[in-house]
Amino acid sequence: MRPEIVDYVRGELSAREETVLRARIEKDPALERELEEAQALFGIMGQGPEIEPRAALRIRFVASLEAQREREPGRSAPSLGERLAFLGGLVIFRLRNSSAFRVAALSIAVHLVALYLLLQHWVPAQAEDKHTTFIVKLPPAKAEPVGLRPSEAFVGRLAGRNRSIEVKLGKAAVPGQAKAIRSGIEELVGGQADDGSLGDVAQTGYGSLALLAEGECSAFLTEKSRNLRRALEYVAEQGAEGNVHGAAVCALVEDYALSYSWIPEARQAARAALIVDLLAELPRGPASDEARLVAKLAGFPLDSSRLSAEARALYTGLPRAWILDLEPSRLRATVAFARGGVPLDPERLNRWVRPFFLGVLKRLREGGAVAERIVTLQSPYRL
Amino acid sequence: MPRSDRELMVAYSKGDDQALAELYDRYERALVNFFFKMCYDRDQAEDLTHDTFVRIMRHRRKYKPKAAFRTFLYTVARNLWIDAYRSRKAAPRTVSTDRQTTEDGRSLLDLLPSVEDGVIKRVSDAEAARCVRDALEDLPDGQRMVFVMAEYQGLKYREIADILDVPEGTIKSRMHAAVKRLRGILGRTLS
Repeated sequence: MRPEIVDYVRGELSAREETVLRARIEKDPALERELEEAQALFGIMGQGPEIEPRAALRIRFVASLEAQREREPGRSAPSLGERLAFLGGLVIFRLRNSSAFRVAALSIAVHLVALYLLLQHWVPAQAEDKHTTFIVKLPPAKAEPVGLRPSEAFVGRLAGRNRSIEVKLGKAAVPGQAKAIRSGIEELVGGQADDGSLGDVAQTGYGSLALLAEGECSAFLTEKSRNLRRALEYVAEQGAEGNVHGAAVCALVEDYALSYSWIPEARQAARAALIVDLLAELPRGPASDEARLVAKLAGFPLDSSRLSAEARALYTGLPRAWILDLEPSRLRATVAFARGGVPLDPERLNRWVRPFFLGVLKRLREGGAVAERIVTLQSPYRL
Repeated sequence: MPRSDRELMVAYSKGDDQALAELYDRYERALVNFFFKMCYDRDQAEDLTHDTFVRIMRHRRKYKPKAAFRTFLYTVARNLWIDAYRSRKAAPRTVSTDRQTTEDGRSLLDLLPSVEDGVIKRVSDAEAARCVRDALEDLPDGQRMVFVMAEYQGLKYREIADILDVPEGTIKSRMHAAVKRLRGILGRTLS
């Protein structure tokens, strides 16, 4: 097929070239056949299916746009260093040709600029949005209470848990449960090693999840939150050496989800990168699948292709509106539940997720996939 | 009067988020289908579309008003495609045409529009879908991208050349090579 025929069908020829070619086609049957063939070919290729983007994609876009807006609130007022540098530059410019006090003034100006550059050098480099290594240390806890106000997700979790206990039973489902949990947590943090570990990486991951479930978060300044922070730092360090575990990643993701709203951007980026890299190292398996799914839904830039077919199906099956409203702990529970039933209290689900959850529950029950009685953390729940 | 793509992008680079939302509405479908034609995977197509706009958000200050927004957009999309697949040397995942593609459970085949007339009348919907997909997947990546951009995105050779940062002549020769190859693949159907 001659190139000019292809260009003609594609509309890439100029008006003059088109006229010339049309004239040739009229006189040459072989050329005419080529044209018909080209049109047929593009006709067939044009029949490829077109898809409509799902509504969830737009929701994702809007969420990203809002997140971007939060990260870039606009240019702030010039800092003291910038003002000094400007002043220095101005002095240099004005006195460049003056003999009187020239040396002294220039000296002052140069010092001002040097001071500014020095200040710039002292400020730690801000993390890029792209990280490819594990060499990321969580920044030291700030002196001021960064966690004055927990995020809504956090409040909802604690409130839901407390409400469940109060309203349903007025006490824990199992006698002595709350006390046992408290003493368990004490024992857990009491045995924390100097390096922050609570055992091996898996144990540290599970231990961190337990601390998170008790309302601790690395952004808080409570004693146990500091324990959690050290445990997570240990997990991060181990990740740098390729020693990763799904539970540990879940703990990192959940802590991120609970704290990101007041943690500086650099930390977000570092953590996101950390998680992504950790996930890349995780072997395939239920634990890592869950970690990946939680990370994906917590908003980390994770490639869907890293999810297994099962996790991917679940991920894509969840309406995005619900996903956006989910907190990782709930999602993880839902995911685990969908696999065959885990302790989960529907009281802790929000109004969007609850109907979905109950629907899944119903379908699974009809299919005989789960036990009739689901024992939740706080209370027995009958279907 | 609606603002041009360029005006919207300039407005966005100055902080008008609504402008990007408008651009998103204009290009969401086209971009999803661009990636879909490249990988035939709806989820990945949507992920890459999302990532394209996220990258535009991050690099909005790099946009030069001299460049057409569409060129800028597809350049970002093309880079993402390369990042996602070529650099990792991972072949695009292939899916069965029977695989569920839409939320309501329709497969790739179900999406094929009915054909009323012309040469294609001789080809059943299912055959056409398979032909198109197989033929596209058989093209080398470079030719495939040029063909998808030209045929499905309606881009001119000049625009594709700008996006891929190669001379226009290269685009022409890739397109012609793609058509030649497609002709070989679809020879029986065409005859």
